[in-house]
Amino acid sequence: MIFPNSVARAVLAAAAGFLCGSHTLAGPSVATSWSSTGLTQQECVQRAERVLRDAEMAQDFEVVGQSVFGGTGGYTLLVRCITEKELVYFAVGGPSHDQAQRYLTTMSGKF
Amino acid sequence: MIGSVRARCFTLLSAIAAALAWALAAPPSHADGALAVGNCGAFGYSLNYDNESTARRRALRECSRHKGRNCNVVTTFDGICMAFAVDNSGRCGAWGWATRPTRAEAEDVAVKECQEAGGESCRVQAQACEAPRTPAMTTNWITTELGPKECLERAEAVLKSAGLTEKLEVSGDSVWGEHGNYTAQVRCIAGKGVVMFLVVGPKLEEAQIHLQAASGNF
Repeated sequence: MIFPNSVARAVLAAAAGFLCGSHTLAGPSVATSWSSTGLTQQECVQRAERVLRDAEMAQDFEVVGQSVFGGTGGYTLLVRCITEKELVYFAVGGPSHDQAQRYLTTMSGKF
Repeated sequence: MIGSVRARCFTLLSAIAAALAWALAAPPSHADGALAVGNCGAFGYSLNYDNESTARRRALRECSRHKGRNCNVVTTFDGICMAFAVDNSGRCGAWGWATRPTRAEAEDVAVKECQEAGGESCRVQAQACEAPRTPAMTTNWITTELGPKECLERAEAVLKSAGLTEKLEVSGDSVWGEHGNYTAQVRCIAGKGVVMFLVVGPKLEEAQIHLQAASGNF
C-alpha cells in the first residue's frame, strides 16, 4: 500500500474533523480541541514547536515526548502529537476562559 | 465464551495500553516574593525568586539594608500583587500590608489595614506584582473501542470515582469535572478510538495524581 506524501496527508488532515471544547470552572479555565493529521511524529512535533514559537504565544516552551508545552502570562499551552492515531490534541489552561479560547483558536488555526 | 475471552482480551489490552500510554506534563512556572517589616515601618521586599526561602532571605536583607530593626517576614506571595502602606503623620508604628490579585485591591486593603492599626495619614509605600503563575498541565490517552455514548458514561463514572465531582458536566464529546483548584477533562474521540485525559491545576504532583486516578480506572 502506498501512502500519500506528507503534504497531501496534511491537507487531508486539515480538511478532516476539527472539534473544540471549552470549560470555565472555579479551577483554571481550560479550552481544548483536536484535529486529524497525516504528519509523521517528527513533523508534527516540529510544527507544534514552530507554531508556539512563531505566534509568540509562548515565552518559554519545552518538548516532552509527544508534546510541546508553552507558557505565557499565566497560561499553559499544549500541543500533543498522537500521530499513530493521526491525531493532534491542543489544550490551553489559564485564568480567563476567553483568553484561553483565543490562544486555542490561534494555536490550532496556525497548525 | 468467545465473547467472554474477547472481552477479557480487550480489558487486558486496554490495561496495557493505559500502562504504556505516555502521561506527559508541564510543571507550572513558579516564582515567590516576600515582604519583611521592621520597627517603625521599615520594610524590604523581594520578587520573582525561585523559591520561598530565598525570597524570604532577600526581603529580610532589604529590610535590614533600609535600617530596619527587628525585621520579620510578614507575608510571602506568588503570582499576585503585594502592597505596603505606612502612616506618614510622623508617628512611629502604624503600617499595613495586603496581597491581592490586582494592584488596586492590594493598595486599598493595605491602606485600610494601616488605618485600622491607628494610622491617620496612611500612604502606599511599596507595591509589586508577580507575573501570574502558569498552571501545571498533564495529559494521558488510551485507546478504546467504546462508542461515544458508552465512552461518555464511563468518563463520567471515572471522574466521579476519582473525586473530580465538582461541577461535573457533560459537554459535547467531553466530560468535565473539578476538585478544588483542579480542572479535569475526559474527551472521547470515538472516531479515532482514543480517550484523552487532561488535568490542569496549580501543582504538577497533584494534577498527576488526579490524572492517574481518572485514566487508570477507565
